[in-house]
Amino acid sequence: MTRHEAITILGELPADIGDGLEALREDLRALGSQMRQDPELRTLHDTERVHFMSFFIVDPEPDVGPGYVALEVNWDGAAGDLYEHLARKAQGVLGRLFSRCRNYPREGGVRDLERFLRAHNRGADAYYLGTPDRSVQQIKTERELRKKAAAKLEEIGWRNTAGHTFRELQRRLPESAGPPPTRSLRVRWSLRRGGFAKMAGASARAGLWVLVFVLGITGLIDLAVRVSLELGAPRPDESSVASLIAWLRAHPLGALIVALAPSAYALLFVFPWWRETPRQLAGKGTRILLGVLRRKLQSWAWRTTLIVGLVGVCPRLFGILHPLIADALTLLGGVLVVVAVGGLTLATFGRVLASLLTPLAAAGWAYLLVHAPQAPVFASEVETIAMAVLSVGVGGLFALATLAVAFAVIHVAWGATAGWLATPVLAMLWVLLFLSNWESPLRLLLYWSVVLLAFLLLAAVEAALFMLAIRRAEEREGNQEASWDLEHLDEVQRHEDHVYQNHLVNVSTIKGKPGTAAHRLRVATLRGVLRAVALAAWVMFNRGDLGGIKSIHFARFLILPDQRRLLFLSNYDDAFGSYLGDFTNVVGVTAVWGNTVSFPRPLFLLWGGIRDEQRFKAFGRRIQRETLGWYSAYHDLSVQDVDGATALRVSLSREVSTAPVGSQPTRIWGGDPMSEAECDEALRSV
Amino acid sequence: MPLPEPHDIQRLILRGYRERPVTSYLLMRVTDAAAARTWIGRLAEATAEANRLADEDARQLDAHLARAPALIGTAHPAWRREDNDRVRGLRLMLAFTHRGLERLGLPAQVLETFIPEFRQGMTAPHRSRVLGDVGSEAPENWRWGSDDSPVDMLCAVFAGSHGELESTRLDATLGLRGAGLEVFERIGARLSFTEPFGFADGLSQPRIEGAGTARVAPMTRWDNSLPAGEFLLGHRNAYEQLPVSPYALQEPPGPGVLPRVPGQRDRWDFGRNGSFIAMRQLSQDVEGFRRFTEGQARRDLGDRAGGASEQTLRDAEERVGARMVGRWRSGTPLELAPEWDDPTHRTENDFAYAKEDREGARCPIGAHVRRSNPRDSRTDEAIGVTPEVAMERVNHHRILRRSRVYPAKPGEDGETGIVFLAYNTNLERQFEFVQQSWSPNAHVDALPDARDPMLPGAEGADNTMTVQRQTLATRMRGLSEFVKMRGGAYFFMPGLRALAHLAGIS
Repeated sequence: MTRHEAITILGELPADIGDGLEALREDLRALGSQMRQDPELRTLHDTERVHFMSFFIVDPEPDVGPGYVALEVNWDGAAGDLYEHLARKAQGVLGRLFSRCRNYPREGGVRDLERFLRAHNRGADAYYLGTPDRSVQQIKTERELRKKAAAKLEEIGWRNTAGHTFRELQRRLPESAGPPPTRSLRVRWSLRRGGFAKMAGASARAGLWVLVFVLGITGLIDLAVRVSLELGAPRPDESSVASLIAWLRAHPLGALIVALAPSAYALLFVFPWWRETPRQLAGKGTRILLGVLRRKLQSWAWRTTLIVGLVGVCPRLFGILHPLIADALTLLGGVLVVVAVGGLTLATFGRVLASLLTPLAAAGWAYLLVHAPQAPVFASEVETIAMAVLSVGVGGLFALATLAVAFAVIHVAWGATAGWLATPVLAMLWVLLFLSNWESPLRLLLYWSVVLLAFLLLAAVEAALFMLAIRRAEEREGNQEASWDLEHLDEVQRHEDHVYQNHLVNVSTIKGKPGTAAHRLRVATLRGVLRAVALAAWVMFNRGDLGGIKSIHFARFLILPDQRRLLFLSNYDDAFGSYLGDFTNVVGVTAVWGNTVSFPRPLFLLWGGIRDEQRFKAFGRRIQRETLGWYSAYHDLSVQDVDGATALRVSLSREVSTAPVGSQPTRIWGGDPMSEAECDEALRSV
Repeated sequence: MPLPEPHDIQRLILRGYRERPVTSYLLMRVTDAAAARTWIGRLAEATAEANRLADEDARQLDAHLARAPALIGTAHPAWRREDNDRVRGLRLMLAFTHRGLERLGLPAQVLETFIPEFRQGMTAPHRSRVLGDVGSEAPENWRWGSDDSPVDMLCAVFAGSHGELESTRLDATLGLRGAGLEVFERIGARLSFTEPFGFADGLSQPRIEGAGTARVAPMTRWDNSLPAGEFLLGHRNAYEQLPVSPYALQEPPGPGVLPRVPGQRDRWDFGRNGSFIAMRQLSQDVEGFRRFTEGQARRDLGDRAGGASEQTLRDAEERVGARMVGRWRSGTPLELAPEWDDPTHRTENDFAYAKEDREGARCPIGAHVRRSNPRDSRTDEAIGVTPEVAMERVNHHRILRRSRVYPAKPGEDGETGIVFLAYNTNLERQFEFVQQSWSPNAHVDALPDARDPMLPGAEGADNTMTVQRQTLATRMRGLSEFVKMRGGAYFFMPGLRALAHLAGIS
């Protein structure tokens, strides 16, 4: 997996810079125009580890904060490598950028420079990647692959069906497909798109599976005992677990079933994760057979388990009410088992075997019913164990869910470190709680509910108090009208729309006078929101879209060290207006910029604001700063182009039989990329 | 809810003067601001008088209309009788560039409150990149509208007959002599339901809510009606906000007093009931287009082209053109009739793409009509964008077109083309967005082609157009430039009161 590092080196300008600021700006503008020609910068690009790079000046503002020179790099690998490279091979560039800054080691050696860079890298408070898991090299390789594929397609000429064309393409591009994608990428690509609803759905499914699993095992144990009784074994001693185990020892068949059942189920549950049987493990025929088997088992696993579980457990549970209910349920279970056996064999092995097996299953069950009409009685300890297993299954999931929520809340409120430290502690508390109450699952559930309720209540009260405070602050604020300064607009627009990608630097001022409660509230809120954004970017939006926006390569928020200003940097596709227009559909944006001055007035932090589209864009322009230098390693590619090329590679590296014929080949001709030379030309004209 | 002040709105934005099929677009420069203001004032006054009479007594209006040789058309309902009535007199639409307003003496304070796109104008360097006006299409190669040939004012004259628009007669009718206005370009044009390449045009206009122009059947597949604020300042837009509108800080004296900005005590709305116009004169190479479709038809037929009948060739040619446009010549959408024209769907506009045609097998993704209005194409259920949401987002980028075809008489010598007028209240979000993010985009929807085949493009580039099909895609190559920019500008079309205010400036 490729590690990305978001590096933001901020050099603080001295207060007495005065006229030197304009000279510095002019010099950096000149350096920026040499982005692809300057020999030192070229050595940096040649590392093939820089996705995007920019530098710019944050102007000093009286009563707000000092000026900064900033260098933004999106880097493959560890930040230390970049420091080392800059300090060794780009001292001239570093000097031009930072020599006016405080603490810059003007006469220092390589080590001092590295130390300066390390000390001044502020990283990001929230960081988003639109094309995760791909290095610069991989993106470039895949771009070439796509070009080749397009050229080959022209050769092949689309005379055949898409499937045929695709196989032809695979045949002709053996070397270009390269190594199969990394595992983490494959998992991500095979997972459905993120989003809380989907995640909740997935955990609910997982919970159901665990429940079914537990039911299944209990049912099987029940069945094993019945079978053993039929085979002449004496009724097990009910008094203790030890005697039950002794009974199992004495009757190997029962023991075997009891032991096999969980293993078989475990296998069934593990199976779905083997999405494809690796090529090197088996021949084609075996793979196909395995594939069929796997699919059948998968589709039937949870259904059969549920049936067996219901058959095994329900009569035991509800039989307490009346023995007739137990009998009725056993009968019903029998019907279900027969149907299941019949269906499964029919689907897997065909009609002949099914017509043999189904009556056999029915007869077997009827025999059991007649000869052992009474439900076997377990030892009270066994009962307890079964209930404990149940409570571990259900309760464990419940505990996991509360831990996840707690982690998210603590992360947002106090930061990532606090989240990572507190969560294990909470987990231990859960374990303790469980250990002290495991024999009484009902009580355990009660505890859990009480804790959860208290937690929710507390959160609700706090949220309400917080929202009231925010709303009061919002009401005091006026609404900035939309206005534009044409000179400033010309300055920033001069750098825009030369190629398909654009770069954005925004500096907004956090609301409230420093030292007042209003300011503290805003800074705290902003920190929390940014942590939430970072968490969401990590957990949910890791598949190339940020709340539906598919045009961001890399973006970051950073609160400047003066605590008064918020920096936003983005490398995005298409136009400013289109990009900010996309933002109007994302609620979270208001929660961030709503804490800064002159943003259209929000309503309860989350609403309003951003939906005032024209004023929001005017705000966006007002806080925009000039990008003095900008480099993109692949400015001919949109995020969708990058994804498309990866998708092409993934499908080309797959087995022929599973290649997604149909839509994919028609999409191979994505974006005829500009040549490097054309891009250079376009950018030079800035 | 109907629009509250129809008499204040210049009519063209709501209804396109079908009863007056001949047009002359007079592009003017102000030479004497005071005289020009007087001229505008006289027109505005006569029109206001007609509005007043219409409110009181229809018969008096008739008499007034008979006397007035030219009036600014307004959306006053009484005037709607003109649609079917005997046509009398000329109807005008007046609009101004930022430069024009400045030269007419609009105070700097008001000028600064306009949206930046309008203030910078269509030829600002950044805007040229946005609109694709680069290379051979750059403003310096335009006939009008560039910095060398700036325009202050547009007066579009709509008439019933060619004779009325003959230049000396027209100038006399309008009283332009001594009006302080220099007409430096006249574009004669005509109403036509097909554009010069021969395709039916103007079929998918958005409907303005409250404008009462619902002559089309309600849509079932998509929603084509938009809040008035998308096209008229002073009304709520698709974000339920009032679009940014120019205002005066000083109470205006004199006639046609401006309304107050809602919720503001000390601001007077100069923009109310006005709209921004993106005007572009585009010349079309009809012969070149025909040559291309014919050549492409032969390439498509491949080996069969040699022995093909005239009819087969003609059909193939029609198909090439239809795939570039997205509709057949008759107007039938490819979406409904992908292989053969089916004239029963001729004016059909009730169709969408997401359900049946995600991949562009019926209507190519890069076709002109699909690029300039993707409807629900951008549906992506995985990230919560249902067809309805996709449609709603697309509707943030709609424009209202009032285009006419030039020259005024079909078959006249010289070039042919279209005078494209697009109304919108937010140039960046509407006209420029379509022009920048949709028409020339090669990076979304895996579109391989750099631009809309029916719009101006860079000369000499290897232009392509991909036709996605059910299982395979073909690619047209060598599309030359069929459309060229001749001139263009951003105008502001004020409401009647704002016109009177402008005229009353001292």
